[in-house]
Amino acid sequence: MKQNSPLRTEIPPIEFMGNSQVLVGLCDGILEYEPETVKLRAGKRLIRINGRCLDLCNLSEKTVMIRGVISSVEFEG
Amino acid sequence: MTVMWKWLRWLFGYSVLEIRGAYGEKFITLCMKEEIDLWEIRRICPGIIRVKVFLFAVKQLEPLARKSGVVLEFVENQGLSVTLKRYRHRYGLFLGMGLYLVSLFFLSQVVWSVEIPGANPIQAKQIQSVLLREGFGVGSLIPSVDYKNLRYQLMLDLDNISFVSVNMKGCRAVVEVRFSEEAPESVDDGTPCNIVASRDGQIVSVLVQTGARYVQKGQTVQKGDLLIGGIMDTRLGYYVVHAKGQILARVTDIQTETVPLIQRVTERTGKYTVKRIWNFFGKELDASPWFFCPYEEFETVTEVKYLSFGEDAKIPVFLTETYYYETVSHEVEISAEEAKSIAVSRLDEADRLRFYGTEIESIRETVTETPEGVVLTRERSIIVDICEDKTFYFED
Repeated sequence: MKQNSPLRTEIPPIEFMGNSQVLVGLCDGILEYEPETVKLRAGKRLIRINGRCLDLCNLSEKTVMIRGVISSVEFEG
Repeated sequence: MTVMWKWLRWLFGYSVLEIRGAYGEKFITLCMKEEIDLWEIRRICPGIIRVKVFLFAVKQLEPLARKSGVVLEFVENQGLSVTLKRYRHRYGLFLGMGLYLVSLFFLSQVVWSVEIPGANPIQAKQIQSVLLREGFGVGSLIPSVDYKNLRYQLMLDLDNISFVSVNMKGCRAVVEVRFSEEAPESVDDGTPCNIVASRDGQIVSVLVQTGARYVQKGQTVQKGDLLIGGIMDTRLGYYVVHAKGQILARVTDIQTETVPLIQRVTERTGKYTVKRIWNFFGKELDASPWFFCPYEEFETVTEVKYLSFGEDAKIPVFLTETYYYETVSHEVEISAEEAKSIAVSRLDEADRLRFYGTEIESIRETVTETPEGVVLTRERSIIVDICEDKTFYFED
């Protein structure tokens, strides 16, 4: 499968380190940010990360790193 | 990685700012799209998000804030440029930093020490003298060292060197030397010779390898007596050989030591004066140029104090302090027992090397008191090889 195929690019890479850190790639924007929830847009999908004391500790082009106590991840769309 | 990023952020400088308003997320998204790095984004209370951003990117934030309808409030700036700005009027600090950098550069450009592993003190001194003559030593500038010439001069000036290399390990110069092994002394078996007694004694054992035996066990000989002859008499006639063998004899060794009962003793009075000389990278600086020792009788003690940071980091800057202690001499009378113990210790010290490996049969000591002092006579009966080669000439 080619790396730039539509199927591949639609899926945002999400990388967890335990439940204390999550790295979300291909992120197009922050829709909502509260200490208990972070809602991101990644292509056509919406990703909601729930937890406690959530911080956006690093924000660079298309990549968001979230730290805190992560309890769940939800996909919408 | 994290540490490197922290250093980079500190180096470039960053600003801590608060995003006030209901559309903080929109502002952050716009920053992402504009590829402006934000980190440590934290909502501190409803409507306020605190972020950190590089100082060089701050100017780009104002239009984005207007576009997203938020207000930016700058809390503080951090980083190298901010720290430098804070201390911009403290000239001493910058001077100190400058001096530090200059001295760091200078210290890294000079030779701190010269090490010569594998050489004994005499060889090391010879090598050092050649190096010094060629202008290489403690304090020499490392970039100007001509290693090829040093190797060449060392090989040329010193005998028995099979390999030499001069390497710099940081600021330490390591001179690696390998000495060629001397060829063993050739044994001259061709020259005809006799073996004669090197001293008086009584023969204990006779071992003849070549030549005609002239003595036997139990016989007494005097110095110069023929022990093994180099002329062999056979039925076919005479022929000459290089006589060889081992003849052990019991000989008497007498040593005397006289210790006067009146001894001269030197004592310090407690007064002293010090002469100090600083040495900076091989260059001497006299710290007491007008030094004068006021004492008629004195003894000196020299101490060298190195400027060092631990045992391995010894900077070639040291202070040589020479203490001149005033002394007075006077005569004291010692007892005969004390004089005897002094004589015994002196003879023991002398004998330690003299009779190393020698078989000693018996020792007899006699002590005599004379007006000059105590005379200790030590008489030893020892077993030694008394063979001595004596070449002779003949005509065919």
